[in-house]
Amino acid sequence: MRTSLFGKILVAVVAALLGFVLVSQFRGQRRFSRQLQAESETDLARILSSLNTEADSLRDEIASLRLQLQDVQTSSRRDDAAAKSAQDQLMQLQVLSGTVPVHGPGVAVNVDDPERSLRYDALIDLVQELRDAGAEALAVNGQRVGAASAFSPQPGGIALDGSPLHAPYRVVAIGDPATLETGLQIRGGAVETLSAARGVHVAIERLPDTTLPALPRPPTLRAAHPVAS
Amino acid sequence: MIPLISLVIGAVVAILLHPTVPQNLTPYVAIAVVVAIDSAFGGFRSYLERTFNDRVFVLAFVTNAALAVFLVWVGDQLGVSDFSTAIVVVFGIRIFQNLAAIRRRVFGG
Repeated sequence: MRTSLFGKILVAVVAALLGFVLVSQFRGQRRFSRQLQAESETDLARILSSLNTEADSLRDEIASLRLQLQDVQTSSRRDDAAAKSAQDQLMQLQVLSGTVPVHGPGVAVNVDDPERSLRYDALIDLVQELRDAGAEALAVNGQRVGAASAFSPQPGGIALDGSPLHAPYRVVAIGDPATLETGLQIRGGAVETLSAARGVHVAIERLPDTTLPALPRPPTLRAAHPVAS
Repeated sequence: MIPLISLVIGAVVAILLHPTVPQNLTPYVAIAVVVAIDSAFGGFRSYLERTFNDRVFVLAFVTNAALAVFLVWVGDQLGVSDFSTAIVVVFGIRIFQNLAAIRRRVFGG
């Protein structure tokens, strides 16, 4: 009788394998067939019909869930569209009110006024002219002109939203450059009016891409409230 | 003693791991298990008769199981699906013979 260590290990491994396979086969066999084999024919028929009923009801459930899924998808698409249009509108309003920095093509109007012969209304006219010509965002000397901005006279010059502006004035407008330039150069328009003042020289410059800052502080509304719709 | 402990360990591992024998392999595994049980009894018998040789035991275990599975497979391929029954009968008889030998050895009957 040989009993080497290797042999012992081998025998042990084989025995473990036997135990493993034995138990797994036991379980598999039990799960698959034992329950059904024990049933009588009528019971099997009953089980089959109940399984069929269950399958039918599950199929119904699948169909109704599919419908539900479709509904949810449709409504979520609608919500997405609404959110997107709201987002677009918000962006437009932000650009127009001047609360966000913007960039795009446009023109720069350089107004040199060495003799200080221009009054604040000249700049108002110029800005209005640019807006008429389709300017979407404006800045004067690097200061953004928003929806509620105002030019005002100031001792010795002009102020925009209370902060003084000094000549030469550089008015930058974002919009279609060709349209803006044409709008400025209309006979009897802003450029002609400005140039008529003493010592004033106006130069228009097209900008392929320029960036305008946001308003230093957003406008605060004290009196106006939206009407609830 | 060691083989018995290993057997229990293997069984416990199987209980813990929940291995599932694929449905289409169950007939082969079943035959292999029957043959392996016979080999285990044969091994125990030869141990009692003091003729136990571990190499022979392991070899018999593996070859018998493999041959049985192979024969059942061939039977399935040939359409002789009852081949497994023949193997079960043969090895069933051998199991009882081994058991009888073990009994004689233990009780001296």
